[in-house]
Amino acid sequence: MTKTDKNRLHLGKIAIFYIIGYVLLALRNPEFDTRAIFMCLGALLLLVSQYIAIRTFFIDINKPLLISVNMLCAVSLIMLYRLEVGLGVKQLIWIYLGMAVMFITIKLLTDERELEDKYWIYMGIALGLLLLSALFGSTIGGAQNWIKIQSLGISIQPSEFAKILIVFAISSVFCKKQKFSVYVIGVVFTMISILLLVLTRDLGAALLYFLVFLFIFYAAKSSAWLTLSAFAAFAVAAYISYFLFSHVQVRVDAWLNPWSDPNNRGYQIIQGLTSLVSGGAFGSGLGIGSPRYVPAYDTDYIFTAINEEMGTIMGILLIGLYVVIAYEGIKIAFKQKRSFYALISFGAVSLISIQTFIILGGILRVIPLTGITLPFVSYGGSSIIVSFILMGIIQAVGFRNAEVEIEGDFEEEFDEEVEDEIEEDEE
Amino acid sequence: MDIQAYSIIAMIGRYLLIIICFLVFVQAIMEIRKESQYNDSMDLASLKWSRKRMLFALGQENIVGRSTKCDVIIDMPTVRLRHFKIYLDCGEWIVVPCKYSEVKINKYIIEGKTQVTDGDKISIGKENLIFNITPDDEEELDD
Repeated sequence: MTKTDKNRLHLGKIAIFYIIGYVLLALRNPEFDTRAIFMCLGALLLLVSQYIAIRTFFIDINKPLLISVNMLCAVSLIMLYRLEVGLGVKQLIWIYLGMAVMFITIKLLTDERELEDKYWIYMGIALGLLLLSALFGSTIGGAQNWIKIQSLGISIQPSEFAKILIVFAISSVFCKKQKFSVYVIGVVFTMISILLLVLTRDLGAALLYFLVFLFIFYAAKSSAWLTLSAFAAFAVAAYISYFLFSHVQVRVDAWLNPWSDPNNRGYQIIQGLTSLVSGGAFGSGLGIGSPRYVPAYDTDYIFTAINEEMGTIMGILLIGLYVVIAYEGIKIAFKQKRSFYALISFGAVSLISIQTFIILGGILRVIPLTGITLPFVSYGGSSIIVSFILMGIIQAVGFRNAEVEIEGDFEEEFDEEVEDEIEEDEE
Repeated sequence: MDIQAYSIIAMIGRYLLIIICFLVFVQAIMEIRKESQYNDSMDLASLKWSRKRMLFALGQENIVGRSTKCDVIIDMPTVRLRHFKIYLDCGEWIVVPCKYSEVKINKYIIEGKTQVTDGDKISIGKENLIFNITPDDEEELDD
């Protein structure tokens, strides 16, 4: 094996994927679509710029994660261009921004700086963002979680950005031996933020926040009884909320029996399931199916469109790529020796995995459907940028793992501990 | 292009897209395997803690002690937080006791750097560890 072989980034296959996809899309209409060719060039430029950035600054990047993310983005770009040309173009811009943000996140987190004790700041900003959407939010698709900026003509979703801060806040609360009062603050903070989300009807995000809290708590304290009792408390709260909130009732009823009201409540689920299976194992072919009957086909339900036109096998492969991300992320978290960084990378990977599970479970009727985006694939600026920030966190912790092996900087901490022990012995 | 001709191209294209996605997925798995193989090759030697029937793989540089930050954790009251360091230096395995800690190799107390060989018994506190060098099986694979 030569050295160049070892450092290959394997982005060539993804480039071929882009070329085939966009050439198909260009030939789809009676007249040749030159915009698709320009999009293809844009996507290839994305790969090239990534390659240059990695080769010059980030040579130790984790390759399985990089390959998986690029493949998911490729499927997303081609599918969105097929669904609506405008969305495909916008998504490419968002992915460019996301990649840049990912590299900036890696750079920021690999520098040495004090991040572990600032839980007040994380909690303050997170609650501020959530209050912002609760007070000034406008309702799109049943949840009051969008802030519209009229002058710029864009709308952002503060709860998406708040989830990164939630990971940081919970990790810094549980990362080392704190006072009991700090733990209480962490739990109360999580409860308040979940309550705010439930009040704004953003149930998917509420479920996500709670599960992430539980995952990080279990990873930090490894106390099975407390985790199980928290889960039991959540089950009770969910049962009560079923009777308190009408929209929860609607969702659960639509999940249990969508065919009782196929034109209204069960419409999205039934259309989604029909679209999911109509392509068969290999799909109907790009541009031949009719995935646009499903509501929210570009954001939450993009998985059904992919299944219909590219085939169920493609859907299974996408799930496989998410499994690769989860596996690598957890491996990186286990290798990290400083608990704060281990917890934030574990939190980031659990956010991506839980989010995937919630939306795919909702589409496949495994759990009640709650609107949440599929990371890296769904259309949406907030979602794409946040997913890339999470990926940046995981990659940054991977970089830190490599650094510790070379420098061995934890030995200094050791000496203090050894001295403490000696003092104890002398007493 | 008319619809019928396009549908034929799309039929071929869908297979190509699936094949490429599959190849990328396999590539990601292969990268993971490559990484773990690299890590396995780091396991050059091992320490056997006979009382608890535990086997610790050793890397290039290892710290043995009671603290959870050690590479090899021997959680016993007679073992210090950081007891000794064992590392590979030019093909030889060297044991260095940490400050204030006592290490015996084959029942003799050592002072400073000491070389250990395959099958040596390293005693720390009341615990005994057996040192074993992993046989080099890479050459056999090449043949």
